[in-house]
Amino acid sequence: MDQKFSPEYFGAIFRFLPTNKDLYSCLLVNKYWATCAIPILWEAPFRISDNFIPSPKVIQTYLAFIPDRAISNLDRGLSINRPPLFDYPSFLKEFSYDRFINAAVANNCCKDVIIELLKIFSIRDTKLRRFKIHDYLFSQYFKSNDEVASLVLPYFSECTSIFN
Amino acid sequence: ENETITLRSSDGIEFHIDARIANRYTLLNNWNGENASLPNVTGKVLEKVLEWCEHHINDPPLNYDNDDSRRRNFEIDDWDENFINCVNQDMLFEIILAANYLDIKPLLDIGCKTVANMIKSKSLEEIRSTFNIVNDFTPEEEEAIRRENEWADDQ
Repeated sequence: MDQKFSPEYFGAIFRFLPTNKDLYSCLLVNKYWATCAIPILWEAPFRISDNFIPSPKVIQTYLAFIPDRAISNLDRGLSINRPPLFDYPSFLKEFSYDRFINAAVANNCCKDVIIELLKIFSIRDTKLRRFKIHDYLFSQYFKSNDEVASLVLPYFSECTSIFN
Repeated sequence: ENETITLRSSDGIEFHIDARIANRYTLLNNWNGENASLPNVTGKVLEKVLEWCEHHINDPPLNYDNDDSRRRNFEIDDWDENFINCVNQDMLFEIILAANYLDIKPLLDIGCKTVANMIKSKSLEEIRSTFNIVNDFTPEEEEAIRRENEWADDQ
């Protein structure tokens, strides 16, 4: 199978897999399958879909991409392994701001760390297919207590290059 | 009474097909007329591909968007499922390659979805044995890739 199919074919096949768990199995098969499955898995860790709950653990992999000086601000409980095997942030295609913030907060990331995390997407010149911030604006309207989300929102303007 | 055209496979086998089949698919249509040889498709594979095309000759026109997002909801109908389940793994792969080469997108989708169905819900070892694949990760690499992608394991 590996000899027959170029990565484009694997991409077409993997897109039909129903769950991230299936993709996870694929990326452990061998190096070639990993190279084909990683870009699809990492397109949308904060997928825009009503019944999808992102795993906060994804933030721990992204943290390996922020600079050393920002690491000192991190909670001691977080372990960071560098360097990562793949340039995971470069594959991002779909981004829900609210779900990202929730996942980052669940990892005890402070404001400065969240800004560094947003920067890892912007410096890669990522082009998004979908972006969603609606829930956040909605909750602001009803005076939610979500302070971190509003604090880092101004820094998001630095990321405007990620929009198509 | 329908017009027929002749297609020739890479191993020289000729197929006389209803011209309406060729008209449905841009690439087959381009081979109309004098140069009707398909250098990348063998007779055995072309026969299966044309069997599929013949059955779908009266389908509504193709309407494809180029959205490259994940496609969990695509369904295969009964005839197609029976068609694709009657071929072995090698032929399945050949049909996928031919459908892509001939730009027959619905058949490409059916082939890819069928391979995805062979993967889904299987354990890592089951996937490796289904497709005869040898693990080439070092233990360290496998550990790292598990750790970095662990978030996906429970979704």
